[in-house]
Amino acid sequence: MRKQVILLFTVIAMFGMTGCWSRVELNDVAIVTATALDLADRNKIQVSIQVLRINMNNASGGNATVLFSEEGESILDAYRIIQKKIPRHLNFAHNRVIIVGDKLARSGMSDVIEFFSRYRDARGNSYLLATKGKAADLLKIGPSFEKFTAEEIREEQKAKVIDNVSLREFAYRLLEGGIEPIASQIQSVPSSDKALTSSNNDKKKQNNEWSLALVGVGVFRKDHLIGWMNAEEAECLLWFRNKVKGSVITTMLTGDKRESGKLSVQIMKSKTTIKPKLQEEKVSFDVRVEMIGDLYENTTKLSTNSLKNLETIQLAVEAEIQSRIKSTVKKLQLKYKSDIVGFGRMLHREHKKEWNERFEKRWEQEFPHVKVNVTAHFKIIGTGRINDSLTWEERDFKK
Amino acid sequence: MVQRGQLEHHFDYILSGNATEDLMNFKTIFNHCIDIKYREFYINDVKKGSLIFLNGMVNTKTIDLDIMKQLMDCEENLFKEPELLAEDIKNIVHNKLIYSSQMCWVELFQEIVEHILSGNVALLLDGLKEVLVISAKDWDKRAIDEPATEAVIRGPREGFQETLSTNISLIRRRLKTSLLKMEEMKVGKLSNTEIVITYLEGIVNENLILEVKNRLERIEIDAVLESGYIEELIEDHSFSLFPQVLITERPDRVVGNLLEGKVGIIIDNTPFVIIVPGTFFQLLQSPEDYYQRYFVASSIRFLRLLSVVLSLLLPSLYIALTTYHQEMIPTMLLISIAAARETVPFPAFVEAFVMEVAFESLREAGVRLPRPVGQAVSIVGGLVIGQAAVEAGIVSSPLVIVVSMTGIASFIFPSFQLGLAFRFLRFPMMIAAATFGLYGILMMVLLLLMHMLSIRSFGVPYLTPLAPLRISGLKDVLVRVSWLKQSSNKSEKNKQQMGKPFIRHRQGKYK
Repeated sequence: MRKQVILLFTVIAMFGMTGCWSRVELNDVAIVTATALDLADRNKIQVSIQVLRINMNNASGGNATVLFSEEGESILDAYRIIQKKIPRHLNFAHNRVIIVGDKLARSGMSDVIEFFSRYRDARGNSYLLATKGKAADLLKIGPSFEKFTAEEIREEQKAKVIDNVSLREFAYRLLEGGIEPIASQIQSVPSSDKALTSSNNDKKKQNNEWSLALVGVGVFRKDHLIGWMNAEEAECLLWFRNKVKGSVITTMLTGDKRESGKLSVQIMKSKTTIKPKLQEEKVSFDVRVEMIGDLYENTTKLSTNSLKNLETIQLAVEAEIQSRIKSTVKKLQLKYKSDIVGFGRMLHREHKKEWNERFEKRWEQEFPHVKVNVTAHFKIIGTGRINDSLTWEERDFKK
Repeated sequence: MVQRGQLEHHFDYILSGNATEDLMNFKTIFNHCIDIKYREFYINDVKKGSLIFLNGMVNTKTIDLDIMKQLMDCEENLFKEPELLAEDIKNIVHNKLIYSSQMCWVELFQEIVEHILSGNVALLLDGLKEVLVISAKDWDKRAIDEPATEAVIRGPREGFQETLSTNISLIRRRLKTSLLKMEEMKVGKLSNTEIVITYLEGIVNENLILEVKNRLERIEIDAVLESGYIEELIEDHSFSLFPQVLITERPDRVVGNLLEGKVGIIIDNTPFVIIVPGTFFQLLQSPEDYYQRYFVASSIRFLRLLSVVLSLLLPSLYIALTTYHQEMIPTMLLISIAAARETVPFPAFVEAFVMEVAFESLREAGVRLPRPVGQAVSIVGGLVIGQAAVEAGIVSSPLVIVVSMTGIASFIFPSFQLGLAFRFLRFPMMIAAATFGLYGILMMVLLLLMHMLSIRSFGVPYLTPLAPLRISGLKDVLVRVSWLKQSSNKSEKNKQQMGKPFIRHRQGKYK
């Protein structure tokens, strides 16, 4: 009995002596939703965070978020200065979007990656984006659909229209040989004609005349941003990673009168295999793309009832895929000399010994000269609700 | 003579054979007992006799017509022969006079008194050193109706009631076999409560019966008013929160358990029958699981397991997540919760604790109050706690959802006793969550599991068959497998599952 009483007191004392060290009530938390990082003067770093302003009736209008911006010697330094301005405890754990301005990105991302991999509140799966110009300005743009901008950016990234990376993936790519990091490029774009005519100031930006759009991909070499790829090329990068979610390919058909027009197909499934080939000293890659999809638009007079015509369409799409991939790879090889697709990684996986001996150290020099062969296979599995276009006469069609 | 301070029946009297004298002795014993009635008479002016019985517990019609009338109307010269021996008198009364199927001759004073007190009629006759005890028990009983605590949609609607003999018959009607054994015991120095141990011979483990009898015999208590007394006195760990025996009001459930090799303890004056050994998963089963289609029954069992977890952990998870681990709540949900909590002046723990206490009070009030007042309680509870408190900004609406979900989850428990344990455990859980966050919850759950793994009920580990794991036993724990797929001799299988129970010979007295 005495033993039990002592045990009971020990347990009670245990509860009293914890000091509730990391306990924060929800009422005392300020939720950070997005972070923008820019390079400021004198090598300082400017941290801008978007903080949720929680009130019971959000529906009554008003901005749901507040932007705090501060310069500091390091990210945490700036972060601490911001914390001083806010009566609540900043909770960084819900930050899902990190936007880096191109000045900072060009000068090197290693500090950013260092901080966010060390900081235990930061999520590895938050998206890392880059922008031309100041990143902080993007966070000033008000949301059009979601409660706050960060959520809109996150949803756009999730849609997988162009290639994207998470913080964790960016770090992996940075560390791994044979693949270079990327970051989705986000820019503010006018959402209506009015935005262009009215003066471009912050107030207007919040009035939904500007919106955020993913316009391409920032290409990195090591941790430095070196250039941009446009949206079409960025989509190509998605094909390489087998992460296509409803991408659309439009191609022009030229030929006789009945054959010319535009064709749009939506990709349902895509599978790309990269096979490295090692012949003596030379490396080459066979890229094989296999896609299936639906025909969505057809302005030619090709009747989709005939297999022969479908084959023509398929061939046209295949040619388009091939040329797109080829031009993307060419741009990477010649303009940026950065292997963001990960050809080197494939080579590493297939020919480990040779990679370690010959290529690992000098892949940067080697990459622009490797030969990339592309073969594409496309198969139409559906032609939509109608067969032949309704507007033409029966005799006009090419059967 | 009953002495003061000594509460046991103990009599020094011996039957003398003189009816007048013996009657006087009985009258001394039953002094100041107005419910004891005496009827003195002479048979054909020759033989003096008297009847002693308890008023209200006997059928007076039986006494009048089958005993008195027979004795009065007998042939005149039946007792006239002078050479009548005691044997002859007994013979005449036994075989020619009394119309009763249940009667016996008793010599011991003590036994006669017990018989009278349990509703039998004692017939004293001059010249006999034995008393004829005739059964004429009859008293007002509650009708057999549906058990209030274990209602089923499909299944028999009969429930036990307070009379032992009726309860026994309810079980016997479901098992018409001589293998169903019933053994009688008496417990309680003053209440002399009859207890019947029932089991299926050949299926039950012999050691288990011995242990049950042993534990029952060791009980020293003045009175047994409800099965709860017995439960507490025979269970292995009375310090535990968890019920270690199964309590049921349903005869079909008792029979189902007897078939699994368990022992039933039927107690007089209570509709609740104890089934031992009781295991955790058994307490989570409803007899209806076996009557409904097995897919449905299995999914309902999963639902119950979920509700066990919810009723134990939901409020503490709310506290831990909102005060320590905000990063674990999805962003949008966090925003909603934060918005709702914005005006609440209390910490999440106080908020949750107050609401849980309020909910438990409401529930307790609802149980004890008469039905018309109970409605008032629910209105007050629903309105004040559900709505007004949220509108006044004293509690947040997500918490109201948490508390009501916890409440609903705790109503899913088929066993009220087990539900009580989890109702109580919720509070230490919440304290642990408020001081240590998820880590505290984890520690508490570990403690709880350690406890549950350490206790045994009559030698059977509490978490059987999950720990120790018996794969074949799982067919009837998390899911209810079709009868076709279960072993044809379910009982035999179950006997194996329970293994050889490790019988703890507990030292000391049950007090």
